[in-house]
Amino acid sequence: MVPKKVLLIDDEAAFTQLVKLNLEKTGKYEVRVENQGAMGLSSAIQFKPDMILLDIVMPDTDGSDVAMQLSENSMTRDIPIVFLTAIVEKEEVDDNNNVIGGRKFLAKPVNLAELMRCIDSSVK
Amino acid sequence: MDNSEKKTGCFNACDFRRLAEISGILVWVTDSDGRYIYVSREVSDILGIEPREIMGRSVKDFLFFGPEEKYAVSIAAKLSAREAFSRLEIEGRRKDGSQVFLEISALPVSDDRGCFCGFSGIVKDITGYKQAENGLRSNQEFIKSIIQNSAVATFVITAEHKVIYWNRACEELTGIKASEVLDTNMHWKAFYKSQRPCVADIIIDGRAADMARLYPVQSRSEFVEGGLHSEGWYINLGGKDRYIIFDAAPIFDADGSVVAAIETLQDITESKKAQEELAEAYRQLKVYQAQLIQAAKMDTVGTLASGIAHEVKNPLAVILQGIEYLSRNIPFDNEENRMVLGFISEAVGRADRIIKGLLDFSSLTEMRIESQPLEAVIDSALLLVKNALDRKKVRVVKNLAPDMPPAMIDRNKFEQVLVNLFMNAVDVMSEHGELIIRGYGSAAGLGEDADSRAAVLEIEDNGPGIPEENLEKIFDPFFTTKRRRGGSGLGLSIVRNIIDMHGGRISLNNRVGSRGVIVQMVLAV
Repeated sequence: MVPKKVLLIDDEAAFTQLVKLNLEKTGKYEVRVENQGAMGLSSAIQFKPDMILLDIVMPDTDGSDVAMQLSENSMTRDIPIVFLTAIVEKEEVDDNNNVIGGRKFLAKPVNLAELMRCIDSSVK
Repeated sequence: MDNSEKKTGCFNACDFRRLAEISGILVWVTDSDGRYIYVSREVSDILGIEPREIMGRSVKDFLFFGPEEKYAVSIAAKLSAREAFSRLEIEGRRKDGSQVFLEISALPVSDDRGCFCGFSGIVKDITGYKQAENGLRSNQEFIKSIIQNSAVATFVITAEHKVIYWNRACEELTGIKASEVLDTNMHWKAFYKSQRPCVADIIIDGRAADMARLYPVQSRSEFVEGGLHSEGWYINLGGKDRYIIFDAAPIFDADGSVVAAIETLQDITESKKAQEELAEAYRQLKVYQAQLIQAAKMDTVGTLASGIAHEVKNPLAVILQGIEYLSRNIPFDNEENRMVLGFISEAVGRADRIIKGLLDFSSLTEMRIESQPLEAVIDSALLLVKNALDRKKVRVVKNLAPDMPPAMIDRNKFEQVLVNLFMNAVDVMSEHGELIIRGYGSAAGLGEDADSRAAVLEIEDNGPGIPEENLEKIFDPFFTTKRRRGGSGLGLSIVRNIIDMHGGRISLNNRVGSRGVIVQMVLAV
């Protein structure tokens, strides 16, 4: 089985490293981390992920700006994006089947099982 | 031997003269025609006239006083009638014209056969005494005038408790006329329904120890030795309720014995009322201050909440991922490792719940308040806590009055309030507890408008109740009795904030007469 390619864009380096470790340990995912929002688009173009986990509040470039860049680029516009952020509430996300305003969300802190469910449902 | 030297028994005229000269009293003697045959030397000291100037003159011409003397006519009549007179006080003139007060007495003198042979008399100079008497009278008038004209209500009683002064201000203040109490011991009537000692009476009786029993507010005088002070409200005193300050002091005689007591009354009703109003205003101010501090605290918590939440959730996310990693990469059969990871995982969960509570604060401004029937919200909240209720086999008693009006609420937020309160109740109750939900309409609304109505919702449990010392803190942020069970201490703070945002009221008390807690909410309709 080919591992699903996941790009994780988040400024919290420790978090990204641990998520990468946890996901890759399962053998079902290949994870690339990117700790600078501004590099999100180029990483996506280069890595060609099956889906992107994207933080929103980042110091250099806001996650919503990165999402816009991705949607405006023909090479990345079809890659599913899940916002993985602390600015939403778990209940808020759960009540809306992870979708708020047409976008898919996951609330931090998230456990591995939830994360995997979300990735799997996002990648066809 | 002349007539004046006739023997009278063994006492002769010479003896009489010598006695007169050493007596220091003006002695005079006339013959049967009323002519002076003896005047002692004192006449010179008293009137400045030499005896020889008088000798031989008739009493009709000279009797030590001038023609203006009021007794002149009656004395002349007595002399004519040869009658005695005794200790008549007359006003005379010295030779130099100065005034002199005299006391004159006279006896008709008879010979051995009973024939009238003249008058003998004495004259005493009582000028000094009269002046002292006049001075004393004048002093008494002065003292009376001071007391009478004092603007401070004052009365004075004697050692026998008889009222001797009751001034005009006292009449005005008490409504009791001086004529009603002077020379009586009924002064208590002005202040009390039945007889009891006034402060002045206590001073007269020397029973200062009785003060504490008779007067709730009392002390010894700061200014007068032996003086006493009391104060208090007196109902219908002189036609109105008054707050009176009484100060009484002893009056001593020259020997230091208490001969009277003076008592003053000061009506400080207005300043007392002002003082009480000020105290009430100060108390209110403290309440408002406490509310302001509370509001500021809440506001601060709310403001901080959204900022902190994001910053804290990210490290929590790291910790959670770290736990996930370690739980898969440490020896699975190591019980200790698993226990430690379990503790960390629980702590992350608790921290996450605290953050969620904080965020609830910051989201309170987004309220959509509409008129909603409360029963529907209650049912929906009960549904959300059904599992917890069932687990503890809690019996729910819903008692909603048919006339309970719909309330002005944000349905979601109020549901959050109810869930929180229901869960608190379930947590503290043992199995087979009873949750009572009571609702009714109240005529006593929330505002000052007499017509305003309100919906009242009460939630009762039969748990152990809350220690009295914790009741005040129960709505404070981070105060919890469930810390060990993962309580964030924000639940009831959020509940109160939500109720406050609705303009409602919430109170939490222990039930009277049975175990448990009753939470009452009053909501606008």
